[in-house]
Amino acid sequence: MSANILPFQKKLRLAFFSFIVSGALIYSSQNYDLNEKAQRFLVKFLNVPQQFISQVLSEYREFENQKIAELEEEILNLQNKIYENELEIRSLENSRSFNDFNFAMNENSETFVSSFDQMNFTCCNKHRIYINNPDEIEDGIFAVSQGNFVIGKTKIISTDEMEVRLLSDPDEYISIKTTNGFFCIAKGTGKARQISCLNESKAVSYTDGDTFFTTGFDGIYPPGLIVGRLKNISSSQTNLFQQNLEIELFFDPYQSINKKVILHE
Amino acid sequence: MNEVFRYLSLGLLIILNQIMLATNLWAISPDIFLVHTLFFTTFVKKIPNIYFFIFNGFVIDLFFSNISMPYTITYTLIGLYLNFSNLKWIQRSLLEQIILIISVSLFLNIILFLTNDFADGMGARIFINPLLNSIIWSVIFINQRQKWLKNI
Repeated sequence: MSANILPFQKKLRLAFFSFIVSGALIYSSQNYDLNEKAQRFLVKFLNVPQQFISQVLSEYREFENQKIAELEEEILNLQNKIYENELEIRSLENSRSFNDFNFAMNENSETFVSSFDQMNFTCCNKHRIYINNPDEIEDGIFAVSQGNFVIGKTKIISTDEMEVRLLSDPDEYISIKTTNGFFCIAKGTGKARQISCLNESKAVSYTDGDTFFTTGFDGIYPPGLIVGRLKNISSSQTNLFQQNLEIELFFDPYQSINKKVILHE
Repeated sequence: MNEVFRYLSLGLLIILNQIMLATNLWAISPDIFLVHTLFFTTFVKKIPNIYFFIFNGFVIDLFFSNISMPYTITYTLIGLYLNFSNLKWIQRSLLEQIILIISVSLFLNIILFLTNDFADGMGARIFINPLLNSIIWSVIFINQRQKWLKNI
């Protein structure tokens, strides 16, 4: 860009005319409302592409949401399948014949999980699921299992529904054993899919990954049902010989809805 | 930069500025019209006529101000300064250039806010804008300095 060296008089004249022109433009725009007209024109001019873009965007968003919903449904189905297959594998691993691998309910007379109290499960250490009552049982305490996997025991029975207290509930106890002959009475921890038991003597060995079965000593759960797997062993700080065994339950309440269950008298 | 390109770029900047206003980006972005002016003080050989600056400012005011004053007056002053100056804009020191950019941006934004009723959050633009404009100029300066030194 070059710099012109102008004489002072020309500069003065140019400045004077510049301000006159600026003033005239400001005055005429004010007089004829040119600003408002121009702004209205600009908004109108940009309105068409704006509408087109927002329509394209909303259609794209709708398409995305639809796709997300489809994928979420697919994920849920796959998660369900994984859970069922996992149980099937556990059952085969422990040489148990899983009575019926078909978890989905298909007959009206079958007992199945109708609901799961998720709110109390997450907040208030109250672990409950509800199963239907097709045979209209009126009273009694029944052990409930999903195939060979223990769920818990019935607590309150009404004409159309039974409340089942899960093993992970802090008020629930169960007598369990490993294949090595280690016995203990496990108690619900209040944490999801977790029970724990104490080992006073180390006469029988156990390691992480050991599977626990019901002993049948408690008179409620039939012997030989699969409970869970030893997840963690921690030593007590007060008693040198005492160890706390954390057992992860195989039954997952989040995957339980509409799954067939068995009542054991 | 020929005349047609100059006016075409102004039209595109008006559309861009309107989009920035609609998306609330205007408050935190540099003044694209001032940056545009800085660009053609750097890349064109001959300074445009002073009346071009006045017309430029007037057109911007028509679309973005309630009264045709802030940009018209600022551009008149910029035009006068560039046309009357004995030195080329790029021959001045960076400090001098930045001081001028900050003063012009401050002046422009203050009049803009005095003559228009922008949203409260837009008030921050008075301080952010001069800073952003000077940063952009510094970037141009650092990138082009070597080339200018060869040509001067």
